[in-house]
Amino acid sequence: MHDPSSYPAVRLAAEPDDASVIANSRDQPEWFSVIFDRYFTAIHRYAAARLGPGAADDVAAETFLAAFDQRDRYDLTRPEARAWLYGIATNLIGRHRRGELRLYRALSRSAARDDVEGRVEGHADRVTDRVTAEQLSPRLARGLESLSRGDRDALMLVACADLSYAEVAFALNIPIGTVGSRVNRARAKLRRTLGHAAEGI
Amino acid sequence: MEELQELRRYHDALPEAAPETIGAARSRLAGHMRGSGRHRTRLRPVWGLSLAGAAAALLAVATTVVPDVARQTPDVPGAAQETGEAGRPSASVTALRLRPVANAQDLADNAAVLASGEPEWSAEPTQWGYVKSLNARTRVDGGEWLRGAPEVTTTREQWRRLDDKAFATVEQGRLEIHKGSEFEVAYPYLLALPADADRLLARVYESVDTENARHRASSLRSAQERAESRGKTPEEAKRLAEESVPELTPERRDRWAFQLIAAGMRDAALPPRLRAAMYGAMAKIPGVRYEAGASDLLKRRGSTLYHVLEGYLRDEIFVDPKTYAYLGYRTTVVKQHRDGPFGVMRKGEIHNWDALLVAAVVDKAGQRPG
Repeated sequence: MHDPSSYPAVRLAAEPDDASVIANSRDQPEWFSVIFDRYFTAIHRYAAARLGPGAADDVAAETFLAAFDQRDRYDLTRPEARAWLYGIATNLIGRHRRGELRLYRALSRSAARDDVEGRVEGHADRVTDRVTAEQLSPRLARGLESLSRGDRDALMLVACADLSYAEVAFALNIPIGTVGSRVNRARAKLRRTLGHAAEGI
Repeated sequence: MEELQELRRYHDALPEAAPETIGAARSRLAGHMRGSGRHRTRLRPVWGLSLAGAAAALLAVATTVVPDVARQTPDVPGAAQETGEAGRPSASVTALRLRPVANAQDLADNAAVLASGEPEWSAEPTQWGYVKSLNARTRVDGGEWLRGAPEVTTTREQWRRLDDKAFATVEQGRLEIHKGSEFEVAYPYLLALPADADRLLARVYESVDTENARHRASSLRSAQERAESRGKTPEEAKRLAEESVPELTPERRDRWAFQLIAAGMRDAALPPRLRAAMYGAMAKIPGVRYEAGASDLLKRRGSTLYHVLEGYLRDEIFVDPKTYAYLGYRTTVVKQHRDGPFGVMRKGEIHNWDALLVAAVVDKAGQRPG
């Protein structure tokens, strides 16, 4: 019997590429579980970086439901589905914008807590405790909170998901030049927040 | 670059999704994939899966469009029909023309004889085909397939407008009307099929060939584009594409025709004469066989018309041996078979099994016959 967990995360040479799998899934939906197995943990991690662990569970799961529903529209000339999935996840994260901002606020408040030791509790602080372990500095968190949604999407896809500008353009359905200007604007703003001297980009 | 690196480190250091999170998400996707098959527009062969996706379950037809008097007189089918119309065979003639069934063709012939004793169908395009069916749960979240009698069955009701402009289902106790049609085989297409078995089958093969050509062309195109985007020359890409999208074999073409007709019967209330012609068309498909003494999902006695694909996968419809009403549908693995990346199909697995309870034409969505 098919056991999805038996699929290696790293694809073997003989395995079909994502486009072939998605093409097959149009007639035989079960094939889509291969896409799930290849990308779920990556998409989950990305969602967790932006929303915290709780909402990430939902968003990551919903990403694959939405992707399944859109599989007929997938561009089969793209062998890799990675950028497509990150794009869907990013759209879903957009619906949780307040949650995302809450996370960054919580992270940035950990600075205050570090300064004023001994202060405790509240939901935001519990979130902070979980996430400070992952070393996002409070200043950077505050910087992320201050970005526009479009700039933040582009930046996070480049920084966290490791997409190229071309892939980000595809994922967000925007021109590649726009990706460049969004990322540059975001980085400049973050550097100001971080107090770095302006550098050439 | 520091801010990018910090973000990357933060992201990469996040803990991996918990196994229970992954399991829950996978189950959600599995349920969603099953549900999505419920109303499919496209007409494609699906060898290893059920006709309309595993959850399809919205089956079809045994048509009680006109009172089926024959059912009340099980020993002499059709004998109680009062005709009163010139040109139609009298009840006794009808009964005499029925003969013992030894093969698929006999079954179709008898169904045609019985149907000819029934009045013409006079339903309006704005009326609704009502179908109530029972669906066996054959698998849970990618686990083992059903073998033998199912533990769980689901009853479903559906209304489908005869012009296919809308359909209705009951969701959590509430009637929900949806615009359009999402069924395998369009209602107007079905109702326009010739009531002659040969011509009906010719029409069905025509549809199969058209659909296959369209599907194959688009698969070839995308396979070729994929190969070219990997740096293959156009000639190489064309050759690779043709290797990866094999031609439809005659046997698969026959199976597709069988499935198309079966899908039509599952999802629509149909006139008895048309249904008889559909049996007749099935009987003429190479490889389709008859078997007496089968028992359906409700343990009703039935005969079956079946087709075995490449020696391993049997599709069948159940037919009432007295009234020739359509009773249901089943897909069974009859020989072990290596199945793509999903492992092995094992003998005895039942992949799809459903039974028709009621089919009739009614005036409004939500209305039940009788």
